[in-house]
Amino acid sequence: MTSLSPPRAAGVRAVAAPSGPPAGAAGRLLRRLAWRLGLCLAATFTAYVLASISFDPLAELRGQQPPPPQAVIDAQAQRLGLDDPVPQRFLGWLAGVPHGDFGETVTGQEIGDELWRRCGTSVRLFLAGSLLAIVLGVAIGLWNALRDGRPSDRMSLFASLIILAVPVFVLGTVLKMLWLPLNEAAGTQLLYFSAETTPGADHTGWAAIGDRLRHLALPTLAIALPQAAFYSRYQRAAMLDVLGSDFLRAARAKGLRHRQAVLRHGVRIALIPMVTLFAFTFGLHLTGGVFTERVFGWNGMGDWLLRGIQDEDANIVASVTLFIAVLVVLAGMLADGVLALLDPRIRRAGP
Amino acid sequence: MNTLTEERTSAQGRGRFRSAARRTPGRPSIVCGAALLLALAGAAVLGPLLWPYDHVAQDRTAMLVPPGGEHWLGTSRLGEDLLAQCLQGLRKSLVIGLLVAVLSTTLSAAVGLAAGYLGRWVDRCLMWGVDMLLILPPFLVAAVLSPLLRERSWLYMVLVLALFQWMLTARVVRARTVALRQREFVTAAHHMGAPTLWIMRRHLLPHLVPLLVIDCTLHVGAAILGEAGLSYFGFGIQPPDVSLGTLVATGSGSALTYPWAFLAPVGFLVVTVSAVGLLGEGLRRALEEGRGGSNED
Repeated sequence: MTSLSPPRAAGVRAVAAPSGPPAGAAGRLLRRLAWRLGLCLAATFTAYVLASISFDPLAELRGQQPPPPQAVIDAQAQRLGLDDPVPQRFLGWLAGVPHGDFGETVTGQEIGDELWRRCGTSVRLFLAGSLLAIVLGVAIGLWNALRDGRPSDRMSLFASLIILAVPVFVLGTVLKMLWLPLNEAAGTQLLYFSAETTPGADHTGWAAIGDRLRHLALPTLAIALPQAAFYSRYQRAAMLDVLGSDFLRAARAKGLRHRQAVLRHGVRIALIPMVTLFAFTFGLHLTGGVFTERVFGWNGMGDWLLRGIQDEDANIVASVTLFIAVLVVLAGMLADGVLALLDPRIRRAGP
Repeated sequence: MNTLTEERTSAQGRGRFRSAARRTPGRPSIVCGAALLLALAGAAVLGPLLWPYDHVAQDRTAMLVPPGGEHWLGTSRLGEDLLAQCLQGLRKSLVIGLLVAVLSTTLSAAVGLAAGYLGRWVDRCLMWGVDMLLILPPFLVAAVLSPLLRERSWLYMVLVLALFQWMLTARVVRARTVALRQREFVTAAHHMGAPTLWIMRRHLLPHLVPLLVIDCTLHVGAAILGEAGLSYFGFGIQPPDVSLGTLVATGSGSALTYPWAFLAPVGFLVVTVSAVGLLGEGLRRALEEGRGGSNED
């Protein structure tokens, strides 16, 4: 094993080499896909069961004054299927999913219709934030590793410690506080603090895109900063590992300049543990998206999840969990593909 | 022979630990982090006893007083002294952080050791569970369970947070264990008939202690942040209890108009978590240098 740093990448790297009987590359990919789909279902099932145990959607009816007749409560219980055992309810819910039927909310609205709209909102927000975070994190991490121990390295270490100590919902509010004077100085709303578009405004073409971007900027930053700080720490450690390695010395010995050796041979290897790290922590970072949506008033999946929990609605929770699980699986598949690009051993043989 | 191996391995483990420990006190990040944490913990323990204001006492003649003067950090919308509230909240947050960290680190050590050393189906089952839990964000699970926990003690929340925060460490422990399992001293102990639990405890665990100490530190920060997130959305600590999370939540409503009610608890939260991070980072580097870059394990 190499040295301890980065602490998690070491574990992650060991996982990247899948065990089991040798098979072709396609077979391996299929097996991994099946494994991941199984995980998806298991995660959704767990969420559904926990939600069904924990939630009591009839509590509100029972608490009403004057109390509604028992028949009303029974009818509601019947409509929500509360008389069936939980696994049966889950299977009933799951059977609808392939047809785009995600069940009804407690108040009787179709989940499917709202799901797609909210999906789009969340994906737009989270995709922009994550892309920015990955680019920033990798760039800063590499730069810090090359400047190991110098003031710029120490500064960014300190900055990342602070950023990682700030909860996302605080970061969003702080960004608003910092930006407020700028908005006031400009006399107009340069960047907006809430919602996805300006309500009521009927922009078209470039104006519409500009309007969206001005809404997108602050929440994207709120999502990106903590992730970038997180990635930069691990990227720095991974790159330091590579800089001390024998193969880089060999590349120098065969006559490459330091810069060439680092760029051509070093960076690629230093990115490998990062790809697996990305796949593993993607789900954790999604929580940041949930908070950001709430702080900035975006009606996405995260906002819906919080609302579903407040309304004690198991169907919403299950739908959002499935969405999260699918995103995590997609991130995992993406990571597999990028790994194959970066690491010829995976591409050629397949273990 | 058996005792010889034991002595060597445990001495090796202790020796490395000691060499890291020798390097520890001088590092500025460790000193700063530990000093800050001690100061905060001291303030959290002693502060509420010494400070004249009570955290629930409402002074209706002094609502939303800015910082300075009688109330060092100002007062809230209901006229509660913010410093008293923050100290009380810090107390709860620190206790939650420590408990969750210890519980989740223990769990990850147990799962990682079992999966890494026993291998085969145990490994497969446990890692499958880990992978599944990695998909479910801990926040989601804790928030979903919040209606159940609302009426009960906050210790249940600690349990839930701990149950969903151990997975990454368990993976690293497993990877380390798989590497250690092939070393001669483990094979020797196994062939001399040492029971599995004994090997895990006396031969493998000492090698993992530094890693576990570091991760435990980092878990403290993660747990404090996790609790704050839950409480912020009303899924965590319930009134009249206060934690830093509930205080941030109360203050954030008026963050743009009366910023001190928001910034005071945020300041405590950020300083606490970054002190923990500083300490963890310092420990990690001390350990790396303690190994002197050798290719051991």
